Amino acid sequence: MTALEPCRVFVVEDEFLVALQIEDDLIAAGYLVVGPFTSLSTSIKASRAERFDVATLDLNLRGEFVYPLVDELLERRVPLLLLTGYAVSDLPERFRSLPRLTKPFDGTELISRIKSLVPVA
Amino acid sequence: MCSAESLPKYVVGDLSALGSPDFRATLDALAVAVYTTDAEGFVTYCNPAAARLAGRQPELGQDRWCVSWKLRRPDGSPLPHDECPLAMALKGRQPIRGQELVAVRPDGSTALLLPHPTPIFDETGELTGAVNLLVDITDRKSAEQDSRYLAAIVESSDDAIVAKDLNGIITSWNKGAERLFGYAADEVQGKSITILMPPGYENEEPNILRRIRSGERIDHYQTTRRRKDGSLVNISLTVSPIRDVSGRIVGASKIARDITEQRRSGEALAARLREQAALHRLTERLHRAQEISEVYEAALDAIQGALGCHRASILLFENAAKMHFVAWRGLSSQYRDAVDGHSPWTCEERDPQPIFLEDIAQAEALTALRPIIEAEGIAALGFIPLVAEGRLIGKFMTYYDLPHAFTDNEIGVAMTIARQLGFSIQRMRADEARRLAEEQLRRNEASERARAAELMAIMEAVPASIWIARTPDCRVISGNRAAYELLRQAPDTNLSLSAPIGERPDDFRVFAIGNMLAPDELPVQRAARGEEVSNFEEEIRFEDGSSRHVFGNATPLRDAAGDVIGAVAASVDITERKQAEEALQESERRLQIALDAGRMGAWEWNIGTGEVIWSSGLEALHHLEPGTFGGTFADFKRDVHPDDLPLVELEIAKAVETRGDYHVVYRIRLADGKIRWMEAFGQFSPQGPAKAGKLAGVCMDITERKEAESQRNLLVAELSHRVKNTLAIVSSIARQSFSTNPDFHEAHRSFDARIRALAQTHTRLAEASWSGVSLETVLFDELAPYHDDSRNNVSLSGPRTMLPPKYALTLGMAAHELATNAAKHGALSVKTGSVGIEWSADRETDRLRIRWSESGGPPVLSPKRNGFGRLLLERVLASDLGGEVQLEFAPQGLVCTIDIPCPREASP
Repeated sequence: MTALEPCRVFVVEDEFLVALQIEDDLIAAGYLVVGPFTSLSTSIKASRAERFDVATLDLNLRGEFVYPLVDELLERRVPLLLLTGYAVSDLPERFRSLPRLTKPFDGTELISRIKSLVPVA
Repeated sequence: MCSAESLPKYVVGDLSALGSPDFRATLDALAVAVYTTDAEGFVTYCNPAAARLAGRQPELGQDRWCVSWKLRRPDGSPLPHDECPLAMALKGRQPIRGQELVAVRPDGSTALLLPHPTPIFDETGELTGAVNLLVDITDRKSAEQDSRYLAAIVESSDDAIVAKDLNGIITSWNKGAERLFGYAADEVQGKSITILMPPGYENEEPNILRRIRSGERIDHYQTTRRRKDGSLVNISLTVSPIRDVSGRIVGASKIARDITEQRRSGEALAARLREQAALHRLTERLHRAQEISEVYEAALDAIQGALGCHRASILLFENAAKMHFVAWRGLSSQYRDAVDGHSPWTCEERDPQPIFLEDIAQAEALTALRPIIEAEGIAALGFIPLVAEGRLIGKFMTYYDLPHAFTDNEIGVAMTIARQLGFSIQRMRADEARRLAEEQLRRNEASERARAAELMAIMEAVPASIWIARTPDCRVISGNRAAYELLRQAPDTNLSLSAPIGERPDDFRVFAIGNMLAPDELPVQRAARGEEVSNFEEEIRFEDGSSRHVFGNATPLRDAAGDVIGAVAASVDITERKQAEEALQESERRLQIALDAGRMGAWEWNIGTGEVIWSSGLEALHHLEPGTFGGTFADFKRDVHPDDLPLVELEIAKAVETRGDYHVVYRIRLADGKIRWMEAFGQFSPQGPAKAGKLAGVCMDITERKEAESQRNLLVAELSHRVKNTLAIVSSIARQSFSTNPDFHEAHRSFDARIRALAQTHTRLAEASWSGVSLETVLFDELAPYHDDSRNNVSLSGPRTMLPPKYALTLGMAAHELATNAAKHGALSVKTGSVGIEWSADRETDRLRIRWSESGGPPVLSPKRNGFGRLLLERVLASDLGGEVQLEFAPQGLVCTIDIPCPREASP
């Protein structure tokens, strides 16, 4: 990532209105949004095809949990931010320590978390 | 003296002449004894001389044959009257002469007679009688005999009879003297008697002569004389004075008897007497002996006394192997040590015979021991076996300093002593054994008594009731204190229910398993018939309604022969235990009900043995047939889910270590692979310090609860997710509403309406527990505010289609935007306008098609800007539901076609 090339954020969110807000916030902050993707299968496919620096992942995609994608991204050492309404105790053990932002969230909060994950050089 | 033959025949023949007084007077005057008889032998006449001789006056015509009282032959044998010489003469019709006979007078004196019976015949030769003339030859006969007899006696006597004068000169020397002293009569007659005196006896003769001269007689004087050959002879001497007719002592007769043999046999007799006395003393002392040492002493005394040895010993087998000295006299310890153990016999010897070594120097045996024996100064030895009850038990020894010939008598005595000694040793041993046995018996009796006392004390002290019947019929049963107390009877009364009325207790009855027992069914009585009654349980019911439960055993009492002579029963009062048991059973029953109702099972793990017990309920929870659980901890672990096993083991270890409670929730895997959740509660209970204790508790199947819990957790999570999602949506709606509309009031109103619409769909979903809402309801809810029934301005038609929450919310929002638009700008903004909504599901393409068409409204204008409503319609539907939305601003009214995948019935 360079100054000329904006930071690319991979967005997975099945709720269009929420995705819309995330998109707005990220774009306003100068990020490039990849997505948003609304189902597990499309988002996994896209994550393999697209180039991105960080990912925001909604946990529940129309009843399907996003965990397989989380595992894959963790393996690829892609920084990620979980966006969810679930309490931490509802998460599988291994994901409880991951960066997480509870819905509903404030746009500035989202941006600061993304920034902390992908520090600008 | 005259003889009958000399009598003139005629005189004799004329018997009738006797009737003549002159003739008769003549006969009467004769000093010669005469009597006459008739032909029959009856005495017809007896002159006084004959009567004097007979010592009696015969009865004429009555006495027959003879005038004497009794007759004997010269040899002393009786002579019957009818065999007397006169009788023979009459019978033989001729005179008898020369037959002497003895007439016995009535006073007992006798006369030796020589009768001269002569038969008398008349002229015709007829026997008319007899005349007997008796000549008394008594005096003549004895004088004759005396001298003849004396001479014969003297000559034939074995004793030496010697006569000597007062000077000691031998005057007579009989054959006996010749035999005794060896001198012939003519060698010594006229010589001094002193030739017989051995040296040292010279003074004897003057002494004897002095005593004879004084008229003394010397009787059985024992002395010694010398024979002609010089040998000495022991004699017994009787010396008597010889007197002449005038009574003057003229010499001495001397009778000497050889008493050498007599003395020898006297000595032998004395020896016999000594032996007998020794044996007698032995017998007595053995009889009185109390100690074995007394037996030995008595035996040694007897051996010494009877066998004339001053050394003796007794040896006995010890352990049937070796003979050892047990008593001895006159033996050195060196000797004893050297010969100890030597024996001519082994203990196996049957019928051992005594061994006598008369001269050690000549003995062939004992070569090895000879120097030792000789050094001890022993020249002769006797080994006499001691036998008791047919077994050789030892020997006694006699030792002689000089070679010694063992006589048969000595051997016999030795054997007698050996018999007595053997018998006594055996008797002492038997006595000792008996004393030991008696002592043992006394000790046994004492301990038996002590034990009996102990038993009695125990019997009284034990908290168990004991009944005893001492006869098989059990008419009398006694008991210990506890038995009387249990049955509430006075001590020492009869406890038998078989006792006669009045004697037997009548204030209780005995029951077993609810049935009253007859007396002969009672355990004691059954045992008294020989039965072992184990673990009986009975209830004793008293008149006052109370009862006691007892538990016990009854066993027969048998005598030594094994016959039953009674019975004893012991029981403990289990009333409290019984009640506790019943209470426990009740509580267990309740627990079981609780366990069954709660799908619970009970378990118990004995930590020490590893044994695990499961109730059938727990087996059921594990889908096992009753009784098929393996019973070990491993069997339990096998069912536990591997992921949960470490936790279970950790909790168990903790409970055991802390001896505390156990509580764990885990999964088990059933045989069919199904997973069930179990929750176990337990408690550690120690079983004494030595044992590992046990863990026991219950287990319940909490799968349903667990599922409900997880369902609830899911719901809570889902709720949280939805609420927060919704809030995120609301937040997004707010931003869109306010950022796209510059008119704040207008924006506010729109935002309120949108939130209300969202809330309305939520309400619908909540009413249906979020299972879903029908499409018709969602659409109608949004159109309802504008619906005018009188004008029928809203029409809905389509198959009943249930929408999942996501569909409902998204379509709800879309419907809200369409309805709001229609009310503001479209068909519902005027009274003439109407909205028709139709929908249908295309099964082939699996699409749901909804067509919103407005009519009768104001002319349709294309929108000036892409507002939030349109954004929602086009993008949300496309994005959230994968739908296609077409907006057609037709002149007669807006037409919106929504094409979305058919919703699944399943919840999202």
